[in-house]
Amino acid sequence: MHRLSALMFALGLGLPGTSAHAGEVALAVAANFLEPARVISAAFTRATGHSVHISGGATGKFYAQIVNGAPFDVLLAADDETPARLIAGKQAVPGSAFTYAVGRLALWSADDKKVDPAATALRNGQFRFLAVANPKTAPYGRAALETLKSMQIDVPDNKRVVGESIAQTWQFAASGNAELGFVALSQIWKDGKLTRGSAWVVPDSLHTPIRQDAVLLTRGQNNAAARALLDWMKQPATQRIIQSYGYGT
Amino acid sequence: MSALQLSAHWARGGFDLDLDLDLPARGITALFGHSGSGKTTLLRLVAGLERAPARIALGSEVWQDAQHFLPPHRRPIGFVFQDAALFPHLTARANIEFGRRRADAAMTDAELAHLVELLGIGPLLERKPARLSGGEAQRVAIARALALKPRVLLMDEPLAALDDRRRAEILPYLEALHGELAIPLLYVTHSTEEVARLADHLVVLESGRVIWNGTVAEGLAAQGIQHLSARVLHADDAGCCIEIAGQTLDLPGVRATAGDTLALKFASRADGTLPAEI
Amino acid sequence: MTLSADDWTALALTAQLAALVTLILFVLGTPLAWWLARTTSNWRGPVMAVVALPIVLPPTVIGFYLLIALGPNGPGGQFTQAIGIGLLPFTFWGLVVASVIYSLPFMVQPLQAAFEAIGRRPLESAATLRASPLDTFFSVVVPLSWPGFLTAGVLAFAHTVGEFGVVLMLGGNLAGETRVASVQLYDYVEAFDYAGAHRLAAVLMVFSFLVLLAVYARRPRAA
Repeated sequence: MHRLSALMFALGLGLPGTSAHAGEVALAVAANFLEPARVISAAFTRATGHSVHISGGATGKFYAQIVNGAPFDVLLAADDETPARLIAGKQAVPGSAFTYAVGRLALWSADDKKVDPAATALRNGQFRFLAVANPKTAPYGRAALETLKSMQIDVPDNKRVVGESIAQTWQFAASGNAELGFVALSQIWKDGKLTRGSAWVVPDSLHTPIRQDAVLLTRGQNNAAARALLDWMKQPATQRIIQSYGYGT
Repeated sequence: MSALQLSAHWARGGFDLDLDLDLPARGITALFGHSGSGKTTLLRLVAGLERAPARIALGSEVWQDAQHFLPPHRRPIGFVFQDAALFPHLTARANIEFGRRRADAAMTDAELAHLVELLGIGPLLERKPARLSGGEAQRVAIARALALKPRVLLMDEPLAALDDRRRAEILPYLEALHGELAIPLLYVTHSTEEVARLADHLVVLESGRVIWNGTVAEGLAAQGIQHLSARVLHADDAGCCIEIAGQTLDLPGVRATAGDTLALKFASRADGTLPAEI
Repeated sequence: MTLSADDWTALALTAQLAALVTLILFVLGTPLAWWLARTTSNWRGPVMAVVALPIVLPPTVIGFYLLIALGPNGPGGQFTQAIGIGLLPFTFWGLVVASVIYSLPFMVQPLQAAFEAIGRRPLESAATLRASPLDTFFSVVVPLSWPGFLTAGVLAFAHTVGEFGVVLMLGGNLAGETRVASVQLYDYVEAFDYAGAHRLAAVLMVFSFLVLLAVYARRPRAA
């Protein structure tokens, strides 16, 4: 089925790179989804010939920019609230929002002996700093705080360092400055296993699901390539790529 | 009285110094030469402002040789620059006090008062350099250098930056100073007039070499220049009358002031005639 | 217009950071600027280029490299641990170190220019008047270059107040420790609390303007 639709795309839109109908999509992507977005976009371009310009960053920042006229066609957010707010404010097309990935939270350390399946180091406070994303702007940050509350662990303020984005949170942990960090699984997971360090995948029950929604922005509503990209996201092959990065779908 | 000994033999970028000099321990020694002759470099070497292989000693005190180099602030010198180089943020008085405060055996208040009067700078003391004329600044600079009671006074073309009038104003002060100084004064100049009026001893430099080291009159004569000093007897708008070599001479059309001392320069020409310049 | 207690903490932290950094930069930057103004060494060019680097590099790049270098696996971090002061990221003193590096050119360049403008003559003059090099520096160089000191101090101070990228990377946004005013402001914006953002921004601007005015109003006019 997927091959048939890919063939139809190819026939309908011509050969990659040479078609006169090749479009451009300006894509804003949540920082945590940047790498899978690149892989998916590359496949999309190969199949359809449309080029994709990717900007990664904090979802909150994108919101402010879009409201003030930033030239994006599609937003792959890190939450489901921002797309909803954009639709309500008429900056996005109603009905175009859907969940493209479900974020998984992980407690991670660059030290491959630090984190065990019982998250002992976290429970016993055996760390100088715990890195968490800014809960005001990043759903992973909110989820981290919910998790701590569910586990009834109290981390004092002076041991909790806040990253501006999930990417920065990861950097704090990756550089070793924070022994522990609540990061997105997708940042430390590739092809079914951990890329480095040690981690504990946080059970979904401990926090509100992190639904990451995609939405078509008003600026892109007449952009055929943008709509094509959103359809592409729903393809099974794309879904498999997303899962391999540690997301649920 | 110790004499100043200089010995320098080096080449630098197309210019070299090659000399051995013993300078008198008293009086004004003029270092004369055209630009590029090395006279200023030599003076700065003595001061320690230029650093080059040389042997410099004052009597038995070696300031500089192959192993040692005494930095300028430790040499017992006084230096007067061509542009006075007064500190712009200090008054004339503060400029003079700058050195006086720092020298081991500086002038007493009484000695300084006498010097101030000799140089006529009393009314200028509270002014900042910006409000002093070139000649006034130069006189303050001389006082500043002397207030330290240096063992050698070094002057680098002190009148070169002044116009004729100012130069004429200062020369009498320098002549008065000449009479009072008990230390050697090394005076760099390219003006034969200054040499004639001030110098007791003459060193002529050319391309870094000494081509004359001896008396002034013979030295200038050897250059083809003869100087005689003359005194103006009386003068008016039509001209003046001078006393020279025991005789009187009328100079119509030459303006001067009665009582002035003039230096008359006679330069010889190949045909043996002697045109005079004043 | 009332600010929250958090806002005041952030502002106080910013003021402390900027003042401390400016002071440290005077001590470190003055000899460096003096050397650059006077030396004939072949190292002068390369050193000037290195000093100027923080102007050109994006602040987040500086912050990123500092995060790694001062972390437990980096040379700086291993050094600070070895001498017993622990790790610098996420601490106020870590911000001080980062800000000193980041604002260095704003201290050194105006000072160097002021020193060069003095030229050789006043220094030679002082030497012939028995002033040692150190004595000359304080009695001649400083009085003649004080506008340069003023400019350097103001620029370094203001630059540190406005610092954001480096602080974000190295600070970890800890309240009372590294959450300076610029980060606090950024948090308001990110959380869509524009009212809070406006209040804090207004105070920050007025504060900065008054500091700059107090300093610039006293400077002598060029003749």
